[in-house]
Amino acid sequence: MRSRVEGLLRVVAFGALGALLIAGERPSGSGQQASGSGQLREWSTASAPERVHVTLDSGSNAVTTAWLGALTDAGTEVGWRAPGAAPVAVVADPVADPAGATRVLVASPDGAWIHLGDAWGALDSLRASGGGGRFIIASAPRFVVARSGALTAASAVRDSLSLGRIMIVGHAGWESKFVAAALEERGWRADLRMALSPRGDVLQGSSALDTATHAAVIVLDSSAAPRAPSIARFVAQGGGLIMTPAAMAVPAFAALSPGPAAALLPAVEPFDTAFAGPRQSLALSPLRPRADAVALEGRGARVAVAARRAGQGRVAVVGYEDTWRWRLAGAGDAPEAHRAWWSGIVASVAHAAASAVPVLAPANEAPMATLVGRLGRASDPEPGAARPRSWEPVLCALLLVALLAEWTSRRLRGRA
Amino acid sequence: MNARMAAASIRARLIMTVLARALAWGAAALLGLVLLAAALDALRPLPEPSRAAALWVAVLAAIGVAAAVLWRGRHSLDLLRVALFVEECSPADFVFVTAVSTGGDYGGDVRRGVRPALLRALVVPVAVALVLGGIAVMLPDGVLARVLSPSALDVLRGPAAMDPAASRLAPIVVRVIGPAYAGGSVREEANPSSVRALAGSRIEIIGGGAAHGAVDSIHATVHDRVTVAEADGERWTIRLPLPAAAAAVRLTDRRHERLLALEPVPDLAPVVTLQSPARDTTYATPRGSLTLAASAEDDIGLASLAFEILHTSGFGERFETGRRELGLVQGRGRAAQIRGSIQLDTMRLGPGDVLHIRAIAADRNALTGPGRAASDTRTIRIHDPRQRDTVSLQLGIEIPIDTSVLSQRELIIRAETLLARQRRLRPDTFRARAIELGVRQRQLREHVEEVIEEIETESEDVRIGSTVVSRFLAQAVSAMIDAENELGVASVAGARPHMYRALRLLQQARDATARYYLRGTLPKVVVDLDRARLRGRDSARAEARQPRDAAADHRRALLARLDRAAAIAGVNRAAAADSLTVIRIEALAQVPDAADALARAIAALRVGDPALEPLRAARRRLERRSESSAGILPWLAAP
Amino acid sequence: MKPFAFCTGMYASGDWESAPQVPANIIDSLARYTTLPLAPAGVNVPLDSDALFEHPFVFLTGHLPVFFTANERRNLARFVERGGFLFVDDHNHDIDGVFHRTMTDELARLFGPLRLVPNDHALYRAFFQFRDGPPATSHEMNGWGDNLVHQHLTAVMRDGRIDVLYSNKDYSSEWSMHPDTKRMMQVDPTRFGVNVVVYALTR
Repeated sequence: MRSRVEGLLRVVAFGALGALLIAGERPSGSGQQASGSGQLREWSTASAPERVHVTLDSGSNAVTTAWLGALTDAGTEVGWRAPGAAPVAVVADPVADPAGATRVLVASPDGAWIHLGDAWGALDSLRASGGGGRFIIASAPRFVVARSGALTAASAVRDSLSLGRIMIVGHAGWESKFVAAALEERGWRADLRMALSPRGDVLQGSSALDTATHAAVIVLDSSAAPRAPSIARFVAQGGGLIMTPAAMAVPAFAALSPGPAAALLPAVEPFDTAFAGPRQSLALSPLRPRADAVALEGRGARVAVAARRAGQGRVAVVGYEDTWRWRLAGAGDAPEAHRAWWSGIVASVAHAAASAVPVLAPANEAPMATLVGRLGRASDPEPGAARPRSWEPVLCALLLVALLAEWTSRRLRGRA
Repeated sequence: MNARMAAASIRARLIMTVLARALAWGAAALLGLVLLAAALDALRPLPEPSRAAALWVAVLAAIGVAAAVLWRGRHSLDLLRVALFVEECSPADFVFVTAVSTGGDYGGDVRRGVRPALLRALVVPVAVALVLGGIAVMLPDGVLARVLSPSALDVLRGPAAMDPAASRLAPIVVRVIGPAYAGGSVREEANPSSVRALAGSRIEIIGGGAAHGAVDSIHATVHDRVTVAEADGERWTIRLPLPAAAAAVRLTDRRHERLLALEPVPDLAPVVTLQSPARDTTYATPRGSLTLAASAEDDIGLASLAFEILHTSGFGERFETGRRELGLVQGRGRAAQIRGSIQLDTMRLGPGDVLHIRAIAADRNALTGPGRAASDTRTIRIHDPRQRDTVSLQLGIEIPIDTSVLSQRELIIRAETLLARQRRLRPDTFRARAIELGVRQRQLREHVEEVIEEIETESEDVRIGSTVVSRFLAQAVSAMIDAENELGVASVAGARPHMYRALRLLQQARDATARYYLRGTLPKVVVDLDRARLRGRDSARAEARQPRDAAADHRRALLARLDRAAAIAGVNRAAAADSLTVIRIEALAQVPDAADALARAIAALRVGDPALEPLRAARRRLERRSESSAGILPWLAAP
Repeated sequence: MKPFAFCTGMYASGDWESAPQVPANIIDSLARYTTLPLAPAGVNVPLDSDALFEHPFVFLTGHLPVFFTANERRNLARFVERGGFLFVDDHNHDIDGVFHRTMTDELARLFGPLRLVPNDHALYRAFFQFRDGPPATSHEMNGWGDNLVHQHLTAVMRDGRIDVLYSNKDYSSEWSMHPDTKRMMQVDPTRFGVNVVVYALTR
């Protein structure tokens, strides 16, 4: 009797072993992708599962998506999920600035970390709010990647801009001098009209304003009143206009303005370089943006720079006064910061012709949308398929118990 | 024979044996480590600092081993232990040991058994030392020398290249001979990609392979200036002066090329400090002596330090200036001090004269300098009463603050006098005088407040706000108020500290004004703009303005070149390293914070290490900082 | 908008205040010929104070030796590097005089050697036309000082644009008069001062 029981235990052990071996050879019908393409390669070559389910992690990219799509086309039903993946989208555009730069906008859920990089590696990071974040990359990369959570989006710059001249109109004085100096030092080509005297003004370049030759016009005060009609026409045709509250004394400019200006808040005397923001010491006429205007910069709750569309063009108002004080008295590399800031204001309204450039690398600007579009919505794995063969541990336990029991029995009989 | 005497004799021999073992094992350790270092160096050439360190390690190890052997043999000093040793060598049932311990006699021959044991103790260490010594002697020439006297020139020792057409530009040694003013020190570097040296140094570039062809095909080019190599036995040498600014040296040997960067380190001018006089001063009459004290420091060495005194006299637009030097010290070291004094009485100073006093120093750099420097200058003026009549100056050379100082001092004297007489005065008299003092203090305080108002107001319409001087005066006013309050209740003792504090603050205010206002207050001339506006008669025509050039963007230009160099790094590391060397030389002047990162990338490319990470670091240093802000504005082109 | 203020720089070592009537004279001339917003009186600003950076045009003059302090040097270097304009005039009219020697030493130490301004430079056409370069002063014509008529001004320039203008011609004396006196003169001597200010404000 005992020997029969032992024989039975041997049969059970071998049976369990055989079941495990056979199960190991057969594809399960569900899979997990840890990283890279190891499993994908197997599914694409050795086995041809009917149904697979993958979990995408931070290593997933456009190649992975395309591969899974190819699997789908080959007849395998692909389910997927990306735990911890938040939708992310990125777009990179050139900035209308002679010094060159790339503007990158990244859409991401609030609170998520956005990690931006280029071909050389990590560039910058920030925590998203208000729908995402924006970056100005001075090195002007042509290809950027933005990772937020488990997904990575990539965008390539598709255009290059040809920049026209700018025209600066205002009374001769420190502000017109240093605004012109800043923009010319930045690389802008400028035409100038500085009102000086009934005997003549200080001129530079052409007086004709045209979107074919000019990107934007800057009006620093009401001395541009005689030119208001031509400037309004320029804006309507797509040109950019930047003005100050002093210029809004001219009705034509006020009509184009993003909004009226409030009473002047006096400047800090002397210029306080200890302020965290370099423009905090400047006198400011806060703006009250109209319904169709956008606040571009503020000082606390006050709007300092605002913009709006007018016709085909764009108009911005700078509420600061005597920004030249920042260039002379500001901390750090104030002249360079002053140049960059003014150039950024011009870039926000400048008219610039774009021409297509070759794309350096394949882009995947909205990876989540691409996944959904290719593979359908994300799904959880099927209960049976998702768990990796839960009877396997039972078989292993049975095998061990049977072997142990058989051996114990023989030992107790004295036959080792 | 007395046992103890016998044991002492054995002990002496034992001690000699221990010493000999220590020497032998020490020598063996030294030779062993030196040979090990030489073997490692033969397998993979070690850098010079490592070889120098290996020698030191070997010496220290030899000392340590010898010390360990001596420590282990310390028991040979103990007679009883010596006796036990003898017993071990020639067992005698401890008879000898007993005799030694009791001081008795021993008739046996103790030396017979000991001699062989002592010899055996020496055999192994001596043999090891001899074997290692033999190996050292048999090694090829130069192998040991690389460890025993390491030098940068060792890179040039070794088997000559088999291929005559091979480049003779690697390896090279650069010898830097410092300028005479810095001591003329000499140092050598093996295979550097850049060399930093003090301005005025001389450079020698030394290479091998002179046997493989004429050395006049080896030359160095710096800024289009070509220097041909000279043969020196198996080696060639190119001698160059260090250029004034960072430059790339292009070495050429037939079709082979190599770049070397030379970076001059400027000799800094001395730093000179004038300690006395400590501030500018105006003298009513030129009497008394003025103490002078100054010090100077230099990075290399001072040549001289002296006081310079300029005496300017004159009036209106006729001035004459005389100059003299005082207290000249010729130095050898890096720091010096001088002291002196001038007698104002004897300098023939007149009203309106001005003395400018400063210390001047020169360093020993006679090659590119000397660097000269001067301290801050003190201005000593002699008051000129004639200036009261000058139309351009207001009357009242007695500055309001000076008057206030005098008045406050007078009040303090009165307060002290009142306190001293308090016991002799009737209480109501004391009280009345204290209150009167308080009234005078209040009057003075109001006068100072008027001065504050005058200082802080530029014109009727323009208030410039507080200044250093007005802040001191404001604090003095606060102290005066405290004093007034105390005097108002006849507490003269309570008022006294406040009065002294007010005096100190008034003096500080006076010191702060001493620079600019000693000659009086300038008149404020206000133009009637409305009356003048556009009343000019002459014709004018402003010329057109010329545009400004764009500011040179060095970072952008260097970034573009770095990208091109990085693109070829995968194909030709040497060419990429050469390109980066040239970029780095320009970066030293234009973007110095990127120079170190570029140097690391160059080093990685030259030695064959992965270069991606250092190239990335160098690129990031050249890039301007990116800007980021949260949120996506509906204005996509927002700055 | 801040009006143009004629700023005289105050330095520690000499007689910075030797030409107190120059500011009013130049302001008066600017008002007569231009529509520039102007401060009605000059301002005096220490070279070692932060207030220097509120006035992008600074005038320096004097007779006595000039030795800048470390703070004055640091401020001046930063002032010019950021776009400020410095106009220096030797009140001695004497190229062998201590003001000239010491001031040019200080300027060279800060900005490099002074170079001659060509007499067809834009400075001489910035408002009024001076075809022969800098106008002579009565002190030059009367033989005062070094008894020379200096044909050129000198300057520190960047890409042909003047940052620091230096004069040996004693404009400080030439322009030291009551503003109304100009009405009685055949040629207004302050016209060149207008050029200097207009150049600084517009170039």
